[in-house]
Amino acid sequence: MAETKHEILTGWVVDEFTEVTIDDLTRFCSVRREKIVELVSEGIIEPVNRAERDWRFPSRSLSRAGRAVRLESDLEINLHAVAVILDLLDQIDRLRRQGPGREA
Amino acid sequence: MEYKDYYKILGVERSASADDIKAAYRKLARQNHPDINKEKGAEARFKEIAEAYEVLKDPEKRAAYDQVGQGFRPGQEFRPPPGWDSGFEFSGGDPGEGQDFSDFFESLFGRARQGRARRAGSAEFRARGQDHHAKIFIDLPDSYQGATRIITLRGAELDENGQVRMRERQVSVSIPKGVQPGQMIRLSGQGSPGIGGAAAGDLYLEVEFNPNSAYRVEGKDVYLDLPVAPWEAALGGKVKSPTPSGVVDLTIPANSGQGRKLRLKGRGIPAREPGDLYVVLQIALPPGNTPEAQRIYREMEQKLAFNPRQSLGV
Repeated sequence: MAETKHEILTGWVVDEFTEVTIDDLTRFCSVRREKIVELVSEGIIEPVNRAERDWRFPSRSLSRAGRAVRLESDLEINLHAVAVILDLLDQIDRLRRQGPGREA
Repeated sequence: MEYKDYYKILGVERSASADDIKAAYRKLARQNHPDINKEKGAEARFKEIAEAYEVLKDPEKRAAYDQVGQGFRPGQEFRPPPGWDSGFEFSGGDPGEGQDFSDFFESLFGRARQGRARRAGSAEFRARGQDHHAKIFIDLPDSYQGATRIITLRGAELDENGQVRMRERQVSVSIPKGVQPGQMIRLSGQGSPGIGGAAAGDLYLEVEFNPNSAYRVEGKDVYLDLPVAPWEAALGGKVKSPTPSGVVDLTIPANSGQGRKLRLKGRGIPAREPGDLYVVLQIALPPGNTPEAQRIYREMEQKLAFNPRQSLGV
């Protein structure tokens, strides 16, 4: 595409009110649909509705799925181990937030 | 371009077996993976490690690397000999389009990618362009007021001959008001161009905040440590407090203790449902370095029955 130095690009914030589709996830992670289905069956991401044909996911699934796919291939581990790692990372985040001097 | 010693990066001997290389990579990858290790520099280290493994795990690439790299030291100026790769055909292990390897790697192994892209381009086939990802660092006030940032994106693009080339482009991006750390800004159609007339991919910008000496941000809530004098905390009253949206008059309730949190509702990040600003009182002690200050402290000692160590039982 041409130089866009002077054009200002405007996007939208993927916030907690945004939902994403399985197509969004496959493109975001550069994976095939089956990989997303695997992530769901491993409980790594959870759709907000049941019907697989028009699954919708909370927007935080984008970064979570992206992380999962990267960890799986970069660390050469299976998705079950990835799920454990992601849960532990969440726990570290929570503990860090509640750390000394930050309690509510 | 600098020669890279892939063996040294993985910490293995040049004679290392495939199993040794795999073990060394896995250990280093676990320790340095940017999704796990949030330290500064982990991402750069991981990239080097992944690049080294990409070459050394593949017998063809490793052989080519060994042959061309004989006698070079890390950091030494490197130029591949003319026609060095004529004897090699790289069959597998093509790194994905999204991988961003060093110029050194590209000069040795970039050819395999170009071949693949040409094949894809010549076939009658439509595919939507890939999504791109980038990080963008903003300051807290940008999230309160909105801002425009010029960012440089580096990515692979197809040129007119269907060759993949790395190129940089600058774009101005508007930072929407109310964006929170960790959230993404999605720019439609700003990823890779589609093939065969299909739509371009999207560009996702992951938002990170530059560290701020006064405020810390958690989700959409913002925290500020506000120093107060002992009498302000004890007697209460109005004090001035900075906030990311300007100075406010803050009422401190009488008899406030160290660390008391005052919530300013809706003065956190102005998201669709705005966050709150928490002002955390930090009682600052006036120095006791004048006769007058010492007199007042002595008077407090005599007149206030105060034992700060009561809870410790002494």
